[in-house]
Amino acid sequence: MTGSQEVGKAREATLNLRHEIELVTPALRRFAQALSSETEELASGCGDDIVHEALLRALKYERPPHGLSVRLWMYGLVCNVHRQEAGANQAVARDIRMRRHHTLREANGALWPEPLVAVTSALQKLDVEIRECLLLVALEGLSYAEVTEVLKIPMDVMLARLSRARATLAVQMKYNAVRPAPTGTRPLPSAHLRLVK
Amino acid sequence: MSDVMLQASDADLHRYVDGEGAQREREAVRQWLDVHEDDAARVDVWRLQRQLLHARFDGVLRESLPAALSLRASSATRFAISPQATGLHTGALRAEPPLTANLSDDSADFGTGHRLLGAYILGFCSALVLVCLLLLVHGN
Repeated sequence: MTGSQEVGKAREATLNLRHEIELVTPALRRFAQALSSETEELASGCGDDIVHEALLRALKYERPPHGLSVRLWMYGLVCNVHRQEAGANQAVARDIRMRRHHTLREANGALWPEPLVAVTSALQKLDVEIRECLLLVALEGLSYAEVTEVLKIPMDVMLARLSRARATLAVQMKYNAVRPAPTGTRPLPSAHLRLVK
Repeated sequence: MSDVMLQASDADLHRYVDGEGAQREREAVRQWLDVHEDDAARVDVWRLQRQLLHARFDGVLRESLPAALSLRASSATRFAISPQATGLHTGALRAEPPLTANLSDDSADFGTGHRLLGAYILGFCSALVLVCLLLLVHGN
């Protein structure tokens, strides 16, 4: 009897965990997509690959370790998977980027208003550590304390990374915005599009 | 007015933008920004960055979950299909439409060819059986 009760309890715990994970999955997809937007074309696919791998890893457990909340635990798993995959796919990603550079720029312009293209390409130039930090705070809305739990870093390191990420992003975006001006001859394909707030 | 800051640090500004810290602290930073335009401009840039990131990536939240990421319909064992089987790591999720269209066309042709061949063989076999039966009947 106790055996079957234990089995029932374990099953219930698994179901609870799955339910909780499912609630955060849409946000995890957004985070993974922003994190892995090495190239626009691959962003969606890469992001979902990362979330899938994170789900597989999570489902090996009944509950998050170290008393973490499911949400923070999953963000941490996504970061880990992304770091591993980014290392493994660096050569592949660079190769694709080289081959499709021009087509991608045109495709971007057609799909997204200029400021959104600028923020994405600036984002991908940030180091992974500071990109994670910026996205967890600015996109996912985690508190500073939560980010230190997810990334397992002290508060001052977190603040330094956040500060560096925001400064670098600002410089990159300014650079992207200014760069087409000197040439002046080639109008951007998306010049007629404006950011709607 | 006792809350007016002598100097707002970089960290203070970040904490202010991200809604960290107590109300009093935030109010002090706000007063600091009123009189320091360069810091106010940086804070505005950070806010703009946040708006742009949301504008660019929030669309994902409104998409329905891909089947491969949905835990609802599947049992614990069903989700444990290997990534290779789901095609996730082989790029099936991001396969280009023309490629899949071509593939399906090819396989359709392949299927028709096979069906025709099967019909010929079936016809030939049934003719053979008929001849055998006739021979048997005549033999008897």
